[in-house]
Amino acid sequence: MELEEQKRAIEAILFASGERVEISRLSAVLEVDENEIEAAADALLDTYAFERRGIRIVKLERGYQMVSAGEMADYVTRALETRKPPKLSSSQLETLTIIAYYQPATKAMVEQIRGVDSAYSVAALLNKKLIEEAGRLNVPGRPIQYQTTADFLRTFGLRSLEELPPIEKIAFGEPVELPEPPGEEA
Amino acid sequence: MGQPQYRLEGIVHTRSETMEDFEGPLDVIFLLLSKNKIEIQDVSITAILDQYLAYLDEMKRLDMEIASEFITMASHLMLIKTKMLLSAAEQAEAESELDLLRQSLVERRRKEAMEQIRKAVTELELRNEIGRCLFTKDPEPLRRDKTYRYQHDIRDILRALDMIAERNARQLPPPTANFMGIVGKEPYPIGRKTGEVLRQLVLRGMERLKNLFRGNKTRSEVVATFLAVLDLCKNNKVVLEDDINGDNPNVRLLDAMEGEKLT
Repeated sequence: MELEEQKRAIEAILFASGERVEISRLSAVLEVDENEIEAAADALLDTYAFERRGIRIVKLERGYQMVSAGEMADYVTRALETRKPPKLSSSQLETLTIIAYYQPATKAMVEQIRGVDSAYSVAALLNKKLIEEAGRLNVPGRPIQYQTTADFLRTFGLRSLEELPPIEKIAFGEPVELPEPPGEEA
Repeated sequence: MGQPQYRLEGIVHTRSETMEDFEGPLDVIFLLLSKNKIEIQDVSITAILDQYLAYLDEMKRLDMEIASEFITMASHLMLIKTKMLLSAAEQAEAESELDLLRQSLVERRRKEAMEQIRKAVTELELRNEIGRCLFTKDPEPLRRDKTYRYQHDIRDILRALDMIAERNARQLPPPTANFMGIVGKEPYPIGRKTGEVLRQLVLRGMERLKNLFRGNKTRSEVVATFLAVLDLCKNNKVVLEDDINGDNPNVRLLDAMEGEKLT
């Protein structure tokens, strides 16, 4: 399959899908090597961006999604009489940020850092599909771990988790040990 | 604005049992203390104070924030140390102080982590504005095409005709003999059983309930016996009387007078 044909196929698939489509899926469907698919999709993405089209393609980790251009948001909301999705509350934003940086993270972890109960925020983020379950932690109680989704990347205009603003992560792996009470061995 | 660094000689426990020098800010000294990596007796407050004053000299000014932090930390340290040195009785108290200190260190670490998160939150919040302006659409609904696309041989039609013919041939229901042993019912008439029970009771006057079932050959007969006894009870022909043990009631035939009385 030649490059232009690939681009056309990818464009059609992304339009029809609406959701993010993984490179691996495009590769399997079009029977083209993943690297070639990535190159073709990137080229398509660049074309849209360069021509400042009303539709754009965004790359989210190992996949692509077709979205409307951010600059056109006002016209879109007016035409559809809708509103932009509501902003995240500050507690949800904090919870989401902690999960983004420490993922896979448990609710207990979030609460440890925030210092307040975060069950509601976690549930709300799950509902908004910004986070998803990612197995259970192998400790007593087997708590659920969470990770961010591709929707999270899109919502924050990120292409991958590596683009998160760098912060200094505090190692919470080992808790501060209790000092041994001296003299008790005697 | 930096934290003053302290250097204390030969106080840190190492794996090789030798003592090493320590270098770092005051709260690290506390952390090491809380982890028993250094002994409180080994920490020289004068050394710390000297170094702190030297540090302030170097800064050429009194940084109030560092100064106040130093004073709280150092006074804490002094308090713990005094208690440790005073007596064994006060050691327990000093330990709980260490415990509190450890907790405050954990809290401090938490706050640091949260501060980092807050920093990221402010940046991400701005980025969120970009994402909120991107609209996506739902996937195209999958329409199921009902057109039949299989290929068939002409003989399939003939086979279908054969099947119809075969089915018509079997229109008569199969003989009941085929179902012998699979299904079938052999109800035992209750009326007949009632007669039998009455006859038995007339003969013997009274009979244990269990004995009435003796000799019953089929499930249907057992059911009939049970229903017969119930029926007789209802019509006041017999009465059930508890055995002494209470587990096997007697069935007693009532004479006509007794029966009248009950009705």
